[in-house]
Amino acid sequence: MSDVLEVIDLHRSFGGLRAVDGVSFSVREGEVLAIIGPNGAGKTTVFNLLAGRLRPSHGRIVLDRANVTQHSVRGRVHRGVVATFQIPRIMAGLTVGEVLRAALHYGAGVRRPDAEIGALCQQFDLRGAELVATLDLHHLKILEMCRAVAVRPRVLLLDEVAAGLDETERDQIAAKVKELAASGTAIVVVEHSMDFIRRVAQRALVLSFGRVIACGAVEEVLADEHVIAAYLGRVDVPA
Amino acid sequence: MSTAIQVFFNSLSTAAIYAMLAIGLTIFLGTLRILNFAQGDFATAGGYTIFAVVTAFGLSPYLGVIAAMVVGAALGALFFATVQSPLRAAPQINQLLATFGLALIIEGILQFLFTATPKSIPGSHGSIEVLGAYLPTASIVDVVFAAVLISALFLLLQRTNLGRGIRAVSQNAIGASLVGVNPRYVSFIVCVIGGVLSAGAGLVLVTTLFLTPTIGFEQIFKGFTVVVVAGLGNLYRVLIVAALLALTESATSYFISEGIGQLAGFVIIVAILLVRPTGLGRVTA
Amino acid sequence: MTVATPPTDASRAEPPPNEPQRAPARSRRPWSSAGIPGAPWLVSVAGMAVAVAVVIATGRPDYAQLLFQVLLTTTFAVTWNIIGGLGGQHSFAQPIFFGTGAYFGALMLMRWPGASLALVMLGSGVVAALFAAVLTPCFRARGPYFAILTVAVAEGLRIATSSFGPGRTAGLYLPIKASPDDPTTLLLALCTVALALLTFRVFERTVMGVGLRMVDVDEDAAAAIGVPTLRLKIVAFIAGAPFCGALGALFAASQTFIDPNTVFNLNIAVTAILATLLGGIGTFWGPVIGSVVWELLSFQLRDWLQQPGIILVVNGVILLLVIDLMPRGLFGIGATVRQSRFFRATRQAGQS
Repeated sequence: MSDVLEVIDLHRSFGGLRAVDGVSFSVREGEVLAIIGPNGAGKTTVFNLLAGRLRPSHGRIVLDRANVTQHSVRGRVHRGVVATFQIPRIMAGLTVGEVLRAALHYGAGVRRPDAEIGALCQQFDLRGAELVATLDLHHLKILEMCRAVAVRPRVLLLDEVAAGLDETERDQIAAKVKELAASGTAIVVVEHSMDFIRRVAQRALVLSFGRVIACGAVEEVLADEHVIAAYLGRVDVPA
Repeated sequence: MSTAIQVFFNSLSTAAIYAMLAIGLTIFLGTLRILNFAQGDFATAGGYTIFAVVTAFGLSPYLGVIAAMVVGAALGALFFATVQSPLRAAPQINQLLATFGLALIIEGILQFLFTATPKSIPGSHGSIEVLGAYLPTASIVDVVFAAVLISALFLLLQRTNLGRGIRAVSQNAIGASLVGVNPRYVSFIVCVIGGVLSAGAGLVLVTTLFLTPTIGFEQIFKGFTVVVVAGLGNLYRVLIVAALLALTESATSYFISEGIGQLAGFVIIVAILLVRPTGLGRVTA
Repeated sequence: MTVATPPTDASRAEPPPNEPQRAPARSRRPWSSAGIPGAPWLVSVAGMAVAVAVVIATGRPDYAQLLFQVLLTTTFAVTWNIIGGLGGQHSFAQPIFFGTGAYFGALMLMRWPGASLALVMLGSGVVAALFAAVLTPCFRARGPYFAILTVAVAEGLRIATSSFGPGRTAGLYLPIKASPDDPTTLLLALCTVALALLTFRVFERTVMGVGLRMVDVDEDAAAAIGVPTLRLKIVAFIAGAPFCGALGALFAASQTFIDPNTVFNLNIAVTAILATLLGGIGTFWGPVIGSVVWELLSFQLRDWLQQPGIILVVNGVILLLVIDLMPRGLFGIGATVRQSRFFRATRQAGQS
């Protein structure tokens, strides 16, 4: 299994604030990597840098050996890096089928998408004729994932996909994520829920103040004393 | 040297009107997030009020100005009732068009009352000689009046609770309501203030230009230019940009031709928006 | 003795207690045309053709003038509906295309008085489309700044033509080549409107329409899905230009003179947007119904009121009434109440 996504020495500042200060990691095919860390650690910034909404001041993002650092959001979608929105944007007035049609047509260049739309709806248990405006949060998140998956991404970026959902709904989303990973997609999740992470991720990357303080198997990382110190705010543990 | 001074003197009245229109627009855009196409027509209405007071009743133009400001306040209230209040949550295009509707109504009433024949106040076009150039007496009045009105507004915004409330709502309406500011009341006051300010601009219209029902509407684009260039965050910047625009137009008109002078504003706004699509200043207050 | 166990009736089994109840799938938005493809377009064109025939039969020049005006406004509204109704970009550029077409057409007709009117219209359409292509940098601006930019260009063009254009403020004088009560004129106008409606229909029913609607709702989300937002906006913008330009030439041919204040008039844009809002923004029938209603109303008002000032006032009042009370327009009046409350709530939730 080779590295699909390689992130090398990413830097990004906002004015004087170093949001991302030398972050490097890689993700393999079919692997689920969780990016965790206390609030303000830089998770969202790393996410936006990967998605193409921000450009790094320094560093490289490499997808399948190709340098995509300067690619726009759309460019990355065409390359196979697709991100979801934490709060799914309600495309009022459109139906599920239409959203998927646009995703397939513009994101993946599929000209006759009807069969694909049907398959996707089946896979994600959605109904094509349903108006997006009538979906609840759970199904909006599923739709977000579905339209992201529609373009057959190499790397799927999920931003707090479990937030706001109850126990059952989280289970369903977790199952979906594992299903997607099993089919070969590399998945990066930014998450707060440790429970969810334990269920879906193999590895975890911990950020604190823009730097990586731990990276490895989920259970090891969560037991790491530096990680615990970062979350709880203890400063007497030697770095 | 005297040409430079002449160009400067020529620009004074225009600067006054641009400043007042632009500040009014900034207040509307910054606090209420509405592009008010009717702003210029408030000024026209103010101008016609002054004209009516002077010619019909033979009273002093200063009384006319007070009447104009009352009319302006009424128009602001009308704006609140017909545009701001019903359309708070409506799409922007609806708000834009609604201001157009108000503009049409004002223009129609003025045309009905005064016809489309250009009007002006007799005796207001004299000038005195200063520093080797001709300074229109009207310009002195205009600038002084604008300065007084704008200073009063600044004092209101900086020193009074109401002003603080306005600034709070322009930054964050929900947050402001959480600390006890009533956004609806503030919106109403902002509409009234905008109306008063613009009607004051009518003084400039009636003393330096000829009044026609559509003249305010035509001037509003200059106001837009200033707002786009100056951005929404800083009222002082609006004043400076207004003065600069007036100066640019004056210089271009003097050295090249009147037509190009009028175009200068448009060329600037198009150029700036193409280079910096959100204007030069901050996008929100 | 065995007791027969009653067969388990699977259809009456209760759903497992934890499964969330799914609301029944709402049907597609109202007014979408299932059934005969192309039906709305055929109906609308047939309707207009009938109107043209009737007006020609009555032989009354004032009716012809009114119908001509209706066709003009419909074209402005329909072409605006592509970029403004579907795409949500509030362009005030219709007068730019109309005026450019008018001046180009006028100059062509002055130079070659015997030229075929249809050819001149075609040429004007091309020129207008080229101009639209030149204006595409305007799309660097978004939202209200885009609107201001188009207004600025329109007004600037008006002033520039007044100061430096052919004929200056007085305009260009030409012999009337195509008065509205000439059947050919009305037919040419009808063809232009029909093509404009067809163009809108193509946008509306294909994935371009979906893409444009996404751009309208949330441009960044659309880009994240892979929609080429800039390209779509530009195409929608340019697509509407040739029809306005062609009608500009036809208009010039029907008048004794054209001047900047008439053809580069912002009221063209305001009327186009108003008619679309009145009829139902983003729908096929909206601009058509809205234009017809608005022009008929204006015609009647001009007749009753006579005074130009009062007419302006009434126009403004109607504009305000429509916007304040009928945000979805005549065509969407059913959907208005239901969807707008939900839409507003979700919009605010999405923005906080």
